[in-house]
Amino acid sequence: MTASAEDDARLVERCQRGDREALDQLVRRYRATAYKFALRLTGDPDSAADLTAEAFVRVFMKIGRFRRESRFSTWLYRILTNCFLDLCKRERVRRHQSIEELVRTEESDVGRQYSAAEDSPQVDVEKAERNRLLQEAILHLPEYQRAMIVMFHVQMLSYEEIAETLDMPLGTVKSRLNRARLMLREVLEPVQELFQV
Amino acid sequence: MKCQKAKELFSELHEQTLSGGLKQTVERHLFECPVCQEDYRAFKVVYDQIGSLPSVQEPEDLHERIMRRVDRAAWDRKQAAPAGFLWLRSLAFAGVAAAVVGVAYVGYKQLADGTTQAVPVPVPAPVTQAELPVVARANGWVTLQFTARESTEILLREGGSDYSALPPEDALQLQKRTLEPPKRLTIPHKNEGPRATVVWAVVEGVPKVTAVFLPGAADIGFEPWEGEVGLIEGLLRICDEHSVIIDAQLAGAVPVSRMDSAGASLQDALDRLLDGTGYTWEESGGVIRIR
Repeated sequence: MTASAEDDARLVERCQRGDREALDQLVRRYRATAYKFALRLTGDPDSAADLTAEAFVRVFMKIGRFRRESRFSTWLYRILTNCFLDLCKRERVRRHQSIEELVRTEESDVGRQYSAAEDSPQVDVEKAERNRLLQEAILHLPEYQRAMIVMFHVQMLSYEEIAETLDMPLGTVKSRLNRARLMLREVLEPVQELFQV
Repeated sequence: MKCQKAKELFSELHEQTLSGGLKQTVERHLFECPVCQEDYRAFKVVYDQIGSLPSVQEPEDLHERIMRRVDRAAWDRKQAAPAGFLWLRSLAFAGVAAAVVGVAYVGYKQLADGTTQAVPVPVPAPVTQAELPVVARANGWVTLQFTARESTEILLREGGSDYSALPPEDALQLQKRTLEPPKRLTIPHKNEGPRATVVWAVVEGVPKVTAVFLPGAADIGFEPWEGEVGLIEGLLRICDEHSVIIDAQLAGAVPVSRMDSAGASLQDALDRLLDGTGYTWEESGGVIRIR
């Protein structure tokens, strides 16, 4: 079996024996997924990169105690979510920025990030604006709801996987996600004509 | 069916996971209620749109940034553990306690074959010029009042998940400061997060750590638990379930206990959790004190 074909469990096992190369491979396999999740949560490329790096540091520090009862990806999402909640807590403690300021200052960064990712040679201004407003609306959600929305709609995790990741009852996840979607719809109401596609 | 109830079912209706009878009831309500009909139409648009957010490109140097941070953490960890010795974290507080009473404690030397051997290690001079903080409630806040007779370092951390060391290594650092004259400091704290949390107060020279458990601001609860549980997890669950503030002074390894939180009263839950752990509890000033 080549190194690239090894499954996560094998890589984790090697990491637990102190194999740095195995950790390097896990990072290669999951860094893009982790970064995408982090960017949707924070709305800022720099914070997202920091959050991703912090999460992998925690993976490194705690992998010896990971019991492999859940999938590595589930465990990584849990760590990423905890890192994100800690980041929010630090922001609250420092009181340097309100969430509103965060949204304002990060819009342009996120916009740049989207532009860089567009494949089409023709710039779809309306679509870009819709995405910007949607990302902004997601940043208005309470932290846990934000994490759930991104997990379900962007990372395509199932309700069951989210429940396992956040250690919440399935019913709670479903009702909170519904509430989050209702809130998004409410936040976007003033610009709903943009979404009539 | 009322509008509020219909809205609660929008996701399931859109995902087509509603049972036949309930589906018909919601659809009938939407047919009769133009406001909900419009709400649901807009809801579906937003629901479908969220998933269409474009993919993003990770920074080119992301891998390098991650591995640099990992290598730094590995280096820090290596620096923290002197070469040749493996400090067992579970003995950390026993070690500090031994320092206070002026006796030698042991380290563990790693031998070539990977086994360990206990060896005596000199201990620092005892420091006993400080006290653990007094925890009290005041106007919706919890205050931690520190007193020290000498310049003393205090550390406040929050959260964490690995209780093999107290405070947990992965706990968030809130404050680290040196307590100078007038040697009394009151720090107010409030849990603004949705879930129950624990704040750790460490006072230099005191062989115990104060753990203050604070209920969360939202109703994100734990599922009822029956069976074996670590003391910290158990106290977090009780704090969350009964919305109580718990001030626990802990030392040494965290004991494992048992709990059956389904429907238990606060008193029963605490009695059962602390049974056999060596800790007891009492309530004063609206705070549960565990000593």
